[in-house]
Amino acid sequence: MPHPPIKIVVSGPVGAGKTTFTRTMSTTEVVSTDEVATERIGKVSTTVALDFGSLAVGEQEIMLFGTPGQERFDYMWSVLCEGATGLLLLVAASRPGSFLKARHILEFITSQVAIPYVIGVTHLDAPRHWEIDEIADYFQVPPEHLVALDARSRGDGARALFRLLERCLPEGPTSGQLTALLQT
Amino acid sequence: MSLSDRLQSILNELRSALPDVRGALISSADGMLIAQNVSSGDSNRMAAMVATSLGLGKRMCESFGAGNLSETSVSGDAGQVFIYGAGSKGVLAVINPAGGNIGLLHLECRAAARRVAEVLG
Ligand SMILES: Nc1nc2c(ncn2[C@@H]2O[C@H](COP(=O)(O)OP(=O)(O)OP(=O)(O)O)[C@@H](O)[C@H]2O)c(=O)[nH]1
Ligand SMILES: [Mg+2]
Repeated sequence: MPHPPIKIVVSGPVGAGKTTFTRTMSTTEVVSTDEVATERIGKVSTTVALDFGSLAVGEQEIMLFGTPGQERFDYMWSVLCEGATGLLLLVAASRPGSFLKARHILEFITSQVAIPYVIGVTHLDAPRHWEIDEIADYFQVPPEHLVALDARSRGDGARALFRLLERCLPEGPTSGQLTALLQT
Repeated sequence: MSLSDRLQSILNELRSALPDVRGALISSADGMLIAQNVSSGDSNRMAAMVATSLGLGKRMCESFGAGNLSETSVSGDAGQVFIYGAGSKGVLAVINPAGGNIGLLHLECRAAARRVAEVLG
């Protein structure tokens, strides 16, 4: 019997790579709601409503819902978290100024819905960045809750998703599912 | 007149043409409040929400084959919010009590949205 689809929320501060991640991982047409950014945020556009994409891992369908990162859109966090199975919180290692916001988002979402999460650390290739261990200390979570990824890389994204599925599925994902993830 | 004065006067004229309207605001497409004439509530938050709604509406038009979005609205039992695209950069939103002359409201608001689009360039 096919499993019901799993809903994963992708959240985190501006520029962490939420939209990029969804575009990288989705095998169906992505719904993106990016608009030209008025403020200087280090990139041209910013998400105002959501990102939506989906992929199948073997029999298992996974739906990705990306949130906006700007705090003025915070009402979307709870809208998008309804019925979610897991949370991928992205943080850019090169933007320590955004860590407090990331922590705020993590606390907000997990207090609304008690779902498993993984912190995906992006931008580790930046010349100046925090190391994974330092970020784990900052968030006061065990290092195994963190995973390094470049949101532009499908392999990295698959590994991050796999880590999250390990925490979401009672029996855990199978190695076949990881292979399937990496092959899609 | 400065850009924000011009936008403010568009809103003020709209409010005088539509006395029942409870508030009007202009935001950027990415949800930053630009001008407002709203008597109660958090206008910064409203500006963000209006941009969310318009942004989603745009993608819905694409997905449903409805072309380019011109406007969208949200209705409750005590009022309605009408949201108009104002060029590619701006959004005009008007809060109206339930009922009233919606035809006149659209006429005035669409004209105002065109003026906002011109000012924002
Ligand atoms: N160098 C580098 N660039 C990355 C990495 N991950 C993502 N990016 C880039 O960082 C940018 C992230 O932008 P978005 O995906 O729009 O970020 P977002 O989190 O959706 O931001 P908001 O919607 O504004 O909150 C894109 O230009 C990506 O190509 C990484 O690990 N290294
Ligand atoms: Mg985004």
